[in-house]
Amino acid sequence: MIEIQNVSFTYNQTDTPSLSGINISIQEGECVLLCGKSGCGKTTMTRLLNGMIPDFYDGTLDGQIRINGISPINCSMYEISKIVGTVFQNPRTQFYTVNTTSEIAFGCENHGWPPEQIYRRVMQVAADLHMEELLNRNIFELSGGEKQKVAFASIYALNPDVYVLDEPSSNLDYFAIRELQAILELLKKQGKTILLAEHRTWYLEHLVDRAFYMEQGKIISEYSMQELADFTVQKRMETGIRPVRLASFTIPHKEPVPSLHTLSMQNIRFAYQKQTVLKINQAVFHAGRITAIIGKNGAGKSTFVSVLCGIMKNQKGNIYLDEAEVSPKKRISTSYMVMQEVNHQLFMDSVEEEILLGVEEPSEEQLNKVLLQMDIAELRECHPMTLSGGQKQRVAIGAAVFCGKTILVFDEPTSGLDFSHMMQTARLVEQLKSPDVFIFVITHDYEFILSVCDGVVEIENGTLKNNYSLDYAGLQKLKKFYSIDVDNII
Amino acid sequence: MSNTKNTVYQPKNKTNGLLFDPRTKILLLVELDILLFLGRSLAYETSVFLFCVLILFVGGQRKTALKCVGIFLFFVLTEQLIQPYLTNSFASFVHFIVVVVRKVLPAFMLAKWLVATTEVSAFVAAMWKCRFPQNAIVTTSVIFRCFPTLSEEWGAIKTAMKMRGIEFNLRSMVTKPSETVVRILVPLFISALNISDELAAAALCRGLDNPGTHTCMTLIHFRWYDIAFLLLVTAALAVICVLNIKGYSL
Repeated sequence: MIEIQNVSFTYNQTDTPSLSGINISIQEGECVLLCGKSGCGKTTMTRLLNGMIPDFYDGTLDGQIRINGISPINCSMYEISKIVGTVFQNPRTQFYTVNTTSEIAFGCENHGWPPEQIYRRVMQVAADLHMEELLNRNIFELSGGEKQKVAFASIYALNPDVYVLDEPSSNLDYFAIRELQAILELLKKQGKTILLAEHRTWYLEHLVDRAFYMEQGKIISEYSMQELADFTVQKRMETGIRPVRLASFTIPHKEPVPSLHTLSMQNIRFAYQKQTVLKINQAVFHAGRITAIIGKNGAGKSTFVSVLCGIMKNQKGNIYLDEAEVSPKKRISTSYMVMQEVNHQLFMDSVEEEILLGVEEPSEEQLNKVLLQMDIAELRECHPMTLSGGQKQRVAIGAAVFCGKTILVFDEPTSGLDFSHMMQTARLVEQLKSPDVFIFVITHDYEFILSVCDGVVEIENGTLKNNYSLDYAGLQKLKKFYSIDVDNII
Repeated sequence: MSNTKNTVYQPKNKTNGLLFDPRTKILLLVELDILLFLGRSLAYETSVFLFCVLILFVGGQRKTALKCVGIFLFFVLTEQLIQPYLTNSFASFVHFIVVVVRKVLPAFMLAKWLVATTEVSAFVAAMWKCRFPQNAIVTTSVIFRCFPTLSEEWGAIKTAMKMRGIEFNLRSMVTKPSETVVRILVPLFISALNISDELAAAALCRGLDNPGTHTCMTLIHFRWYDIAFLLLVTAALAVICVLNIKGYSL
């Protein structure tokens, strides 16, 4: 049982409290959702429960917390880790070892279990979570979903009473989220207490007992999942909570911009270490449209765009812009990819320099136009690394627009975003539509595709499985891909 | 599952080498690094180098060992070839580089062997066994773990540079070294900071700070060859120290 009384917390570097006057009590075996826009204090709440506050993050803390009778404030993190297990957002950085088996064992090793017992526990965990095939693998060979599963296993091995999950689905594809859902069902059956901070809600409808909506560090209201499902789009924009039932989610979006330009692929082959990983016989894409690239993790989506942009050179086949063949070198000079980890592509000391980088004789007028278009005019002197995630993304896009790139690729631009920030990104991408620009978005985000994409490309095992427009028939295909029950609209 | 008598987990031994205790590896690294600098002659250097090659060979890093032998031979040959032309400033510069790199090559080899063949968990458990202070353990093991992640990051940053038309090659390193280096280091540092923070958090939430006993699923203990290698190197170190003090130049 978790009891939080009158808790307020302010991080050392800031003046405004991240949590204020929090009062909740959670029964054993309950599954509770914390929702609200980015920065509302959800993550701080999770840190409070797993003991990272006040041990790892310094600040001023008032109030009382009790988890199963102990107070995490007075305990070392090691003692808390016996009761509370935490799964983090980013599967890339929560591994301490490089081998899956020893990762699962890591917690038990820290708690000094005898080796034989650890071995038996690891095997038990693998059986419970149906992941025997993931044992004894190199962490770096796993997909994001597999990594998240191993992260879960590593916590599960310690068998804590309380699970704290900080946006566990944000880097996962649809199929991996389904598996996450299955794990949560298992935990609930075992009577574990679960506290989730999350924007996505569609996989939680039958799991969550209560949802707390937070705003500026305060709990504003409590909802049932049914109430969350009944939210209007307007209400979702205000609260940032994503749709609970994808089947009934609809949103109007703009028509494609008419254009005669095409980008076509002919007999493209790309092999990596003597294995053909991309094989596309024929594909045509239109300018003025936003094309979603979907497919499982590891299906070849990244390879597809890397070849399209000329980052990787295709060994066979050609790519044509209208009628003219374009070499990989030419393609790389006209294309730009906004990466999921946007920190990788910001190189300079100020926003202005960042945007001007690599352009000879830049025009002041054009610069101002781009700064205004991306809504970063007032940030022009700031260091890019001091900006928020969304601002960084806008700087990166601004740079691409300024150099006049015509093939724009976005890699998971909305992973981990709440509903209103997702819509902001959608509007931003929509703004870039123009008769001579090709826009591709690698995404798992169903709501985002519906909000902004005009066409869908489905990649499977390195081949182009489907390429369709998002008209009525296309929408049915998309729903089928997401196994969203078409007939079952309530 | 395992058909051995005891059910203690052993990692798949991909390298087919002897499994040394992590503590042996660290001690060997330290002792051999000291040994490296206690003598000057080529014969001395070669024998230290060959001993390191032997360690890599039995320790399961045969490919690296062979590569290093090749590099070492190349450096020795280059040195011998340009010896007569040392009055030329360029030749003496090359000579300097060749000698210095050759000198530290054994240290690099051992470090690579240590990182490539040691599980982080084994390393942590070994450090706990040695009663290292907790802060030191957390910090070193996070650093240990950061390298492979950073090399992943590095790939992504290179792609991003390519798309912005930023060059990263020998020419840009020579013509505008500071600009090139800054553009790599800024994103790399930012990633390293974030990653190490998140790594440490995830580890602490699984009890890394336990002040009591830590165990390891992979059995860590000294075996006969650990002791043999350690005795040999320690004895050599002692003898050579004495010789040095007595004024013999090696």
